[in-house]
Order: sequence, then structure tokens, then C-alpha cells
Amino acid sequence: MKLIITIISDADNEPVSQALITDGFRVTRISSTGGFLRRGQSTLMIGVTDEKVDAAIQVIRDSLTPLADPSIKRATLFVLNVEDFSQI
Amino acid sequence: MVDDHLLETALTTVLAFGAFLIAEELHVSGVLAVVVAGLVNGNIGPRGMSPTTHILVTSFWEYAAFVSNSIIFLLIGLEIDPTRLFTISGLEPILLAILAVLMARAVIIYGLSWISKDIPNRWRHVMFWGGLRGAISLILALSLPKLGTWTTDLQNMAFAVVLYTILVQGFTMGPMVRRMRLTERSEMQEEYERRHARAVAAQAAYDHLKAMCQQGLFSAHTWDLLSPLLKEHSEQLAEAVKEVMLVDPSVEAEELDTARREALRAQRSALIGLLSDGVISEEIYSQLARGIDIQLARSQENWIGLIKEKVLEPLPITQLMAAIVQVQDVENAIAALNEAGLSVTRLLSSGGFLGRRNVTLLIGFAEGQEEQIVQALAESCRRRVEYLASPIEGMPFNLPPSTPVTVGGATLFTLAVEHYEVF
Repeated sequence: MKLIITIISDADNEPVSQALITDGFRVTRISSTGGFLRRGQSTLMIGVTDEKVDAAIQVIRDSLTPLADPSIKRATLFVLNVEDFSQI
Repeated sequence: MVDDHLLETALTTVLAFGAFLIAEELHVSGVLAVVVAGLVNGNIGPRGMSPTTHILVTSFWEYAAFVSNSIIFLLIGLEIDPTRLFTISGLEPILLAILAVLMARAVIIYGLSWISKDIPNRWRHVMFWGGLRGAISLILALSLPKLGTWTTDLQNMAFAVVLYTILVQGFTMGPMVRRMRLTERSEMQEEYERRHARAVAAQAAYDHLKAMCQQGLFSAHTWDLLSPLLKEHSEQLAEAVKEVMLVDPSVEAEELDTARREALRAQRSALIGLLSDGVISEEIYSQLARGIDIQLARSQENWIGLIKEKVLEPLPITQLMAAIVQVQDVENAIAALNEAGLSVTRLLSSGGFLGRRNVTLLIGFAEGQEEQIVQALAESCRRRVEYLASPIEGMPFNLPPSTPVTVGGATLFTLAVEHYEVF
């Protein structure tokens, strides 16, 4: 089990969350701020099984709204190992 | 440690007057004593002041200097007799005085510069020519006791020297510095200014025509014809400005720093407005204003450089830290982390025990940066004791004795990142 923490802009929250849910991932959204000028951001926490990590990252990548300037970063992504996972 | 801006301002005032009185008592020059006291205080005094106090004390003295400068020039104007000043017999001592001042300056600058040999000659010429006289010379002349015509002569000489240095030396200083090539403005800076000015002008033209058209001074037809052209022109120029900024990071850094300072000043005056409207309490105001002053006092060109470096060669992020810090400390903590070149995401959260609002900061960092982060957080997140009111059992009435609770500091969790990506 892995935990993906991804930080995206508020504008991207809707499409990314929708795309992830459509593909069967569970998403928890935390509203957050950061970066230059403290813009609004969304932090998404996604728990996935080991083999689905790449698929989830691909979904996020595809659902981000494309920008004209490719040098501007739209998402920061951390993948952490989960020692124990249970749902009750 | 006392930190009160009124007290500090009062103390500096007492120092000025005290130095004068003591010197007069000892039959030495009071004016020079005040100058020395000011020099010492200006160089050593601010070390112990908080930024807020420093700013307030400085602005008080700026005002005082402005007022006393005006009064001194007014006083000398009252003392000077222009008919005497510009006669042949009056001109001779004046020329002598100017010559003496120039020679003394030359002896001091060129004669003493062997102490520090690495001052280039061109700088020495500028230092020699830059000896402008002002209020101190005038006040020394004005404070002379009236003992005969030589007092008036001395005052005339002082006034003429001041006038000469301000009019002749002051006005020729600019061309001289340029001739000595001491201000080397980078080509990029000039290019940026040129493009920026053009872009602003083009935008102004567009806005002006738009307003005229909206007022009905132009037909819509003309506007439809012209507006795409003007808009394109203005956009191209804006693009050109952006290009210079990307080519020369120092130009970008300069403008970013100006923008940052303007933003901080705007924040500060908004806080003053809130305070005078009674929206926020004095306590909150001073707390917030202190934070802004600390940031204003700090040169931030550094972090722009750091961010640049980070974008150019990103370090492999291998760890993620979740730092839980108190709301009051967040701004300082983020400023400290940004200065270390780390970007931070903040999440609002609340603590368990006291149920206080706190903030969880997510910080991705590379191997070996942990110590730096812990250091930055330790400096910005103070531990402090707060008092919690809780009723004691068995008390006949609710007397709230306060229980000391240590709050603040930061709680840090570091997790290993298996995979990191930015896109």
C-alpha cells in the first residue's frame, strides 16, 4: 500500500479529483496554501495498492489542465510507503 | 531587555540634549559632541532594537532632522546680509574660505588614504569632490557669540561655503561620477528599462483610446480597427519585457524585491488602518507589524537567488517532513524555510490537547537538508508558557487559578519518500 500526496492548484482540484474517482481511486482533499504569493492549493491524499501507483500518477498527469508555458510546474507529488492500512 | 519604541525615542532625544549640555558645561563644542553622540548611537544603538522600534526611531529622527534643517537655513537667512556678501570686500574672505575648505578636504582625503591603499584613485577624486557642507557648518557659525563684525564675517563665510558646495559641487557631482565610470549600469538593466517603458506606454495608449471610445469620442468602427493592433503591440512589448527578465535574473530579482517591499508596505499601512478603525487590538497590531518589519528589514534578494538555483538544479527529494507549528509562528517559520530555499505547503489543522489552531507544514527535502530545516524551525518556533484557566475541585466558587502550560515549539515527523515527481 502506498500513499500519494500531491499538491496541485485549486483550479486543477475539480478535474483531477473527478478523474481519480472515475478510475476508482479514493481521494481526500485538504485545502492548503503555499508557493509564491500564497496561492490557494489543494493537497490530495490518495491511498493506492503498490501496483496501481503508476496508474494513479498517470491519471493525475492526464487530468491537469494544460498550460501554455511548459516550464510552470502544476503538480508536486510525493509517494510514501504505508506500513499498515485498514478500513473499519 | 526593554523594547519600547517610545522609550527608545525618548532616550535618543535625552542623549542628544545631554551630550550638548555636558559638553557646554565642560567648555567644549556642544554641536560636535551631539554629532559624535549621534554617530555612536546610530552605529551601535540599532543592534539592540527590534525592527519596529528601529523604524519608528529612524522616522522620528528623520522628521527632527528635516525640521531642524529648515530652521537652520531660515536662521542663517535672517543673519546674513546679502548686500555685504556680494561686495568686493566681502568676496575676498569668501574665496579664501572656499579655498581653505577644498585644501583641507584634499589633505584629508589624499593624505590619509595611505591607510587604506585599496581605494582606487577615481574613488578618491569623488570623495574629495563630495565634501558637501550643510547644517553643521551653519549651526557652528550661528552659535558663535556676537563679539563684533568678525562674527558676521565668519557667518558669511560659512554660508558662502555651504552655498558653494551645494550649488557647484552638488550639481557637478553627477557628471563627475559618470565621467569616472563609477556607476556601471548593466546593459541588461538599461534594456529592461527601455522595454518596460515602451510596454507601459503602449498599454497606456490602449487604455486611453478604449476610454475615449467608451465615452463616444470615437466611433466603434475606428476602435474595432485599431484595438487589435494596439493590443498586439502592447502584448508583444510585455513579452519583450518578460524575455529580458528571463535572460538576466538580477533584473528580475530587483523587480521582485521591489514588488515584495511594496506588498509589505501595503500590508503595514492596512494594519495601521485597521488599528485606527478599531478593528484590531493594539496587541494584535504590534504582533503582526513586528512580523512585517522583520521581513522588511531583511534583504530578500537572497531567496530569489536560492529559488533560482533550486529550479536550475533540483535536488533529489527523498524525504517529506510534516511539521506541526503554532499559528503565531507560521509566518516566521515559512519565511525561514523559504530563505533556506525550501518550498512549503501549509495545511490548517488543530491540536488535540488544547484544541488550538495550528498549521501543518509539508516540506519535501533532499538528503542532508534535515538539519537545516530543524535549525530554521527551532529559531522561528519559540516555546512559551501560557496560562490556562481551569476550575479547581472543591472550591466553593469558581475562582479561575491559572495553570501554566508550555505551548509552541514544533512537532516534526519525517517520512521517507519512495518516489517524487514534479510536472
